[in-house]
Amino acid sequence: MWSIIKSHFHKGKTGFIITGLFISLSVIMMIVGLSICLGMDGLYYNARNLSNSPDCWISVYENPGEEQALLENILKERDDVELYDVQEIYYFETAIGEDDNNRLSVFNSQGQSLIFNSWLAMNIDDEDNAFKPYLRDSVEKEGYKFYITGNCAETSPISVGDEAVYVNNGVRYEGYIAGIYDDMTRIYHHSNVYVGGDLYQEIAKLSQTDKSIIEEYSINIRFNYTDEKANTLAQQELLGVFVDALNDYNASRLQEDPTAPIVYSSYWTREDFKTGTRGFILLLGTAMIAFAIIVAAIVAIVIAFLVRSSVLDEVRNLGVWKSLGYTTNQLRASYLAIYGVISGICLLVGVVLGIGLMPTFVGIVTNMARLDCSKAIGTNVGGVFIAIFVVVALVSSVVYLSTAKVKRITPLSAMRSNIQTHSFKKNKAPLDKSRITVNAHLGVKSVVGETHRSVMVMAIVLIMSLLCSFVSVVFYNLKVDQSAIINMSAIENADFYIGFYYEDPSPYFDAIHEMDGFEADVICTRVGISIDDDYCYGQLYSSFDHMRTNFLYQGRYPKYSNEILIEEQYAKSEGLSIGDSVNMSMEVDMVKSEKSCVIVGYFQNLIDNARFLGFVDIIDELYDLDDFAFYSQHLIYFENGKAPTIDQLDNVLREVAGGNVQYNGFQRGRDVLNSSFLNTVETAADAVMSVFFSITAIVIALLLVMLIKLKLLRERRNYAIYKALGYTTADVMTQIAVAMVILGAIGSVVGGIVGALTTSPMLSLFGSFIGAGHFSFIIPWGYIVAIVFAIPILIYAVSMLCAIPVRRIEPALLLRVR
Amino acid sequence: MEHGNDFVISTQGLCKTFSVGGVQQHVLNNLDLQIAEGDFTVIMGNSGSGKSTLLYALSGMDRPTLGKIIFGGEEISEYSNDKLAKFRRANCGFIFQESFLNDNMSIMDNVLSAGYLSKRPRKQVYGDACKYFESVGISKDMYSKFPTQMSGGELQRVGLVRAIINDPKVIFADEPTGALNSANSTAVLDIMNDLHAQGKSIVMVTHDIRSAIRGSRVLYLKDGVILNEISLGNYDPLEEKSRLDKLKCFLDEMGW
Ligand SMILES: Nc1ncnc2c1ncn2[C@@H]1O[C@H](COP(=O)(O)OP(=O)(O)OP(=O)(O)O)[C@@H](O)[C@H]1O
Ligand SMILES: [Mg+2]
Repeated sequence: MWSIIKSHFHKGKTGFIITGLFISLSVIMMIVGLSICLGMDGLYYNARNLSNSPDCWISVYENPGEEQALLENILKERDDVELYDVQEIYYFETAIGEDDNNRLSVFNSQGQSLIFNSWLAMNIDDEDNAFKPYLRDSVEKEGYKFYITGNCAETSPISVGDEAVYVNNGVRYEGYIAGIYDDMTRIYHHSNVYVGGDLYQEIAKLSQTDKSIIEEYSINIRFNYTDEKANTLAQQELLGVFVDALNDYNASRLQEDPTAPIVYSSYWTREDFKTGTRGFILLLGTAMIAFAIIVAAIVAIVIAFLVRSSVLDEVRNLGVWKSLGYTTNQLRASYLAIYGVISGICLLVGVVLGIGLMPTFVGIVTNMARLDCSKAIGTNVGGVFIAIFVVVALVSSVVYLSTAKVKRITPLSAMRSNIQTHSFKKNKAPLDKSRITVNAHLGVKSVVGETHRSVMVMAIVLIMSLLCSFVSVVFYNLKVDQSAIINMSAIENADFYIGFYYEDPSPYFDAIHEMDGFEADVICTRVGISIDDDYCYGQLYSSFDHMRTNFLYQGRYPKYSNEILIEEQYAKSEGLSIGDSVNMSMEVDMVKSEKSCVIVGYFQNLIDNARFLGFVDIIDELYDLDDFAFYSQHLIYFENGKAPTIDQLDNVLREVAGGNVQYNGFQRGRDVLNSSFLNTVETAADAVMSVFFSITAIVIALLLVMLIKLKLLRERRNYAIYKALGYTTADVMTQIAVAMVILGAIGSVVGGIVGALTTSPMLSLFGSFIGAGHFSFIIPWGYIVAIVFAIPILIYAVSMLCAIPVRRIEPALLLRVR
Repeated sequence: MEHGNDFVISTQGLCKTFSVGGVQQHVLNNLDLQIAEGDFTVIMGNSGSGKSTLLYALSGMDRPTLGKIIFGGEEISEYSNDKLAKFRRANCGFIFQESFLNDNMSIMDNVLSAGYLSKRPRKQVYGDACKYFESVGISKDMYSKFPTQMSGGELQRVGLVRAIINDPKVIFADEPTGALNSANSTAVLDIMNDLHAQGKSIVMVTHDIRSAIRGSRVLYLKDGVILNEISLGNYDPLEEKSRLDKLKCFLDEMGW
């Protein structure tokens, strides 16, 4: 038995290295992927605890004492609430046309700025705050301290340490961004700012006289946690109760006194954080698991091949063992033992590396979530066991299945030594029919003669080229031609996004309209409107005629103000479809206005920023609002190639203003896209592309090294005969390379094409849970062709290199080969 | 010598030394030899005397440690491995003790894989292969058989066909009958005599006196040199007895 193990080891060294490497790789990927996917709920739970976030909050103003008591009474009744806390906050409302008077501005060292028009100040030094947030990246400098959310830091040009100044009626409160705070309920709202206690006291003083600084109360609530789903339901239910209670309260007060001010409330839950991050994180996790499975499949193919060829090579020895009385199962067990040891060692290595690499991947998750997840997600013990189980089950079943032939070996086999399967087969690809060079033909013969090997090589090359072509389609669409991904983002790609802080901004827009190459000016605004009583955000446009982003994937664009597009995923969840009528309602000036709208098409929303698209006059009362112009931005379009630079445009507008222009956002459409998702996506594209291409090259190269080494060992005698007959080293090397290139070419053509064609459907499958189930990526056929050619060329080069030892096989060898 | 100057192979001071574990073994020792065109040369000698080594050196399969080999006017001992390989294609045919056929392909493919190395049209090569197969008694229905499905005698005849498919200058045979019974041996040797009769030069190594009498000239190898030789004239089955006696006598002298 030992001799089988020894000879198998001798012949399969490279094979073992590959097997081992891939087992480790697969285990690492599986552990990380599973830890991420299985750790999702834990991630949110832990992130909540680490960031000390509440599950939700509701904030009320107008008559704080009374409303607060009302809501607190409700809270006291509930036994599912773990903790709640009332937090005093200040809300800043900047009046129109007030220049720089009342504003928080942040400047970075490149002169870029972020201006907070209305913002919300919370006291970081409030020791009574039960939900005091976790701070990171803190710096110490002179001046007042401002703390922003991770999301704000990520998506704006602002970072920690930048200069910040709050101006109130000409008084400047100068300071800096002192750090980032983590709070799951506030992460996506840039205007939520924590400030140092000293500034907070100043603000409190200012609020006594300045009516634009409004004191509010925020009730932060945390529930007893059993699981994510229960927690989410509890949040929704409680907020519903609050809203009803406040409505009743308003109604009863209005009955007593029709002039009584209405109490407003706003609320937020960590649900936004979850929907905003869950998809991308899950996608990362599933991608890792998918990759682990592919690598495991390669492991299975390689082991099956190694074991089968060993059984064939060892027929004689196995026959001898049988004649000595060993049973089939004992012999099969010896193979199991070999692979058991290898996979055991590599499993261990994989587990150690997997756990070791976890922080790196958590770092990626942190970047995606924009909340520090380093302590929130860790190696999932269940995931480790699943990975171990998968590898053990896979290896043992593959070894068991591929040793099936041992059953058919009898003591007689020992006498006849080499029973080779092909002895009883037809002579495939006979030379007398050949029309190609003899070396090429001998290569072909080895392809058709060794079916197992050929199938393995083809399968692995196919898998790898499929991956490559998949990755290159993704890369192309994320990096080179982004139109497809932009179409899915529901963000319009206009030349400029621009608005002005003036009661009448028309002189500015007039100036823009006069510019050379001006094409169109479309009003656009983001609003919250209830669709059939479900409150959600949507994007309104004055026209859909100039759209450069093709939002639509089914139906048509709205033509009339009562027609809307609806996000596909949302439509699905609400049971809505094209042709349905919905009731759109919103409170404008405290009056509920409604309109019945027809759904005329679907759009997709990769980054979750709108549920519906419609015309700006969807609710007439909204459009008629005096400050509608103030709150909306304009999409400015120039004719193809005539768009000015941002500075040119700025100069034109400065002339109109005679100096400083008060912008309400001034960005290139492209920058809007970049900051919202393209930047992230592009970095991902680069990384994925280079990682996958190098992995493919390594996998294929290792595979060839293994195969050709094995082949040189097994075919020594035949190559010596060829040499004796007059074949040169180059001839034999060509035969070997041709065989591999043929297999590689078939594999890469099939894999490349299938990969190209299945990328969009596959992404759609995965994407459906992040709100984008209809990918129609452009297939870069140039890339695919390059892959289809590059892989066989790589195979040719590596095969030739590996076949160099043919030089040492000389005909005189026949003297000694017996 | 009757063949005068038309030597197809001649060697000068041929040496072959193997070193195994630091110990040098001089297998061929300053060996001078001429092989005439059209001769059927037989090399005899004790086991381990270096017969195979000599044959491999003469045929360009292996290179001498020292000395010259001039084959058809070319000094092949100077050639690189690749040049030697190309030289063998055109000039040398081989028959081994074991047939050394490739088990992974049919016997026809075995022959063609040698035949296609020549520049002749493939049709012609195939035609020749069929012709030769017929002449050695291998029928068409066996062409697609694999070596593992054939008897030793059949295999050796396939090997013969492969050896002559490119019409080489010299056919080299290393104990071609070593693994065959007497009937099969006779058949193979008869073919070789036919080839010789057609004018082919043959160099054959053998242990077996009955095989050796088929040659026209018998060399005796000992201590790395040709100790002596005997000329038997061209083979004639009717003279079998007298050739046998003559050779036996010679070998006795050599201390065989
Ligand atoms: N590659 C080698 N390395 C070391 N020694 C070798 C090598 N090839 C041959 N020899 C030695 O050279 C000597 C001659 O070998 P060779 O095969 O030529 O003998 P032979 O006359 O053909 O014998 P036999 O009749 O048994 O075939 C032997 O002692 C052998 O061990
Ligand atoms: Mg010998």
